Amino acid sequence: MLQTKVRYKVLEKLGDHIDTDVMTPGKYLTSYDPEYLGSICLCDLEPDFPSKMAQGGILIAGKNFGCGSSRETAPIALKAAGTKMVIAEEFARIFYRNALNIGLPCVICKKISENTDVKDELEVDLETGRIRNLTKGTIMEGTPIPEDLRAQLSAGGLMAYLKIKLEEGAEKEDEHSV
Amino acid sequence: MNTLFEKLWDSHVIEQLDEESYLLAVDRIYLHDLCGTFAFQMMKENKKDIFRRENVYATPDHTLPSRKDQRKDACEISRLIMPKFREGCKRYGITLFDTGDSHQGIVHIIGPETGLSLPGMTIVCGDSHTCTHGAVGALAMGVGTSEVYHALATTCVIAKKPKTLKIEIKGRRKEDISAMDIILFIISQVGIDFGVGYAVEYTGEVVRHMNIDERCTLCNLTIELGAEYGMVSPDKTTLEYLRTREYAPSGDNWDAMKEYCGQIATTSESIFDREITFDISGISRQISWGVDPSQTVAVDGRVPEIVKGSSIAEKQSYEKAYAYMDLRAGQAMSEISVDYVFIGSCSNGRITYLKQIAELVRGKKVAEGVTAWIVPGSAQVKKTAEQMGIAEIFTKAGFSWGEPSCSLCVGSNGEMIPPGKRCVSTTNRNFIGRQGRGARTHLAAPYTAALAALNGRIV
Repeated sequence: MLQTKVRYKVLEKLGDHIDTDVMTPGKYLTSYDPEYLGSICLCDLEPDFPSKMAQGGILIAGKNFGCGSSRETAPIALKAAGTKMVIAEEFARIFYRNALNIGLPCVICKKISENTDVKDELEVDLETGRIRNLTKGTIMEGTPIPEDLRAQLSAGGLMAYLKIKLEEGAEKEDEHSV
Repeated sequence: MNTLFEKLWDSHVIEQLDEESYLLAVDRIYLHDLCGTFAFQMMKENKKDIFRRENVYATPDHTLPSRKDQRKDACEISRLIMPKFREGCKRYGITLFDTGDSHQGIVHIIGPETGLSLPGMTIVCGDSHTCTHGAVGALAMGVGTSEVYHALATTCVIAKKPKTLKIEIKGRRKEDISAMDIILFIISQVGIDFGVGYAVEYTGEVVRHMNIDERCTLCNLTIELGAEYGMVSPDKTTLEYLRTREYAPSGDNWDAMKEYCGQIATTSESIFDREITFDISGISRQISWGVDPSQTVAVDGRVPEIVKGSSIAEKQSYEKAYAYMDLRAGQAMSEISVDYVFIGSCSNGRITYLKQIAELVRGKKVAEGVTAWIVPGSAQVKKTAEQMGIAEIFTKAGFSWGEPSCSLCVGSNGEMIPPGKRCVSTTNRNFIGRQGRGARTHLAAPYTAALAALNGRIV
């Protein structure tokens, strides 16, 4: 059974065009260790980011979030720092795919920045994309996360998901052979 | 009728997965030291092997220092990554163009240069500037490490089909205007998210007259428009360029490829989802002033002011840029003095540009107080420049001449601009901290960078 609704506080609000270089600068690319990447996440832009995110919550941002380099360390670092979900007005395409591949949910919502502040509590329905701002009592429409991707997310990323699928496939073949 | 992009997409679809997503066949995979090493790690952890190793080529670029004396073990990242990268290439039986090999270089330079990147191919590499290879009419996409691993194990990749965008470039190009000026100008006009969700094809008289090096520069910066794919339809120039390349087909295969190019090329009847035209007659050389590539003006221009009616986000982005770059609105670009100059990278580390600036540099000297580096994009570019005597012109003028690598572009090989210092750089990203914490980057064409080195300020 897939979890479809999640509820978290907004812990950080960023502007437009936040690039992956500021998420994980080049000199830190020696490791894929999530803990390490989480500790340096956004260090040049928002040095307090890891401590702000530590309790686990939502990051909201403006247009073209995750533009630039295709480094997969960027979403890994955000997730490891405590980001449970990114809601942005728009995502750069490579970042969006990488984030879903490593199991960081991303929801596109054109009105998120103008209607949401840090500390607001949001309830997000991954299936419909509907976002309820429980603090302000408002509702916004975001993009749903496709079922396949929801399954990937609840499995913990593309690789974990493919592994489950392959195992299922193997079981089915076993059934046929009986 | 379909465009080049659609023809290539359709001919590589294995299965449509949902409304927008497709499973595509991958013809070529490139690995570089940074992404390749971690993809190998995933292969090992998941006990997978490479499905078609003959389609995979590897070369180090990201973590290599470009200084000859530091090449081997001066950089901590390189010391850590390179042994694992070499070991992975060996373990999986992948052709590696290692340091010292005549084919080594920045992956996006050596692809077209060796003829490993060909018209009609789908190409995957764990780097966002993979769009560069579109210059020879390939469908080339930058992906993350998980997807590189996936592609290695399956020779497939899952991708969302973008819409098509035609960027026509027309007009009379002034002599000192390079492809870098043109693409920076375009990005400054439309912004860095204009291309999100699109595959770009560059057309028009200006593009038709460009050589492949210049087309590579255009396609390289397509990701800075937000688009994942940049392409130029293959034509006579493409075929002439490829004909003598080591890995390009020969004999009957060459004839077949030539015919295929005719079939896949975009024609006047091809229909794009969106079209935009730029007339570049009269544009001056360009240089970025801010912290993203769209914050670009003419070299004889001024740092722009915040215009009335700007949104809060626009205001904030300008203020952030003024502060980080230590510039004030209205300041003339030509007043700005520079500490460093970097000429190289997958955007501009090509022989066409080195030849061009050699004429400018000949007999002159780098200004006092300026550290100026030229790093050829590949072993081939380096060798050609040395044989032609160009390298000597640079070193006599006081430029430092490096070994092929990403060097000062990426901040992952120990080579960085010190905090607060200003660099005119022929790279593609002026993001905060890209060239090092607190480093101030001005993106420009090689000609403008060379002028800055000789004059000690933006000219």
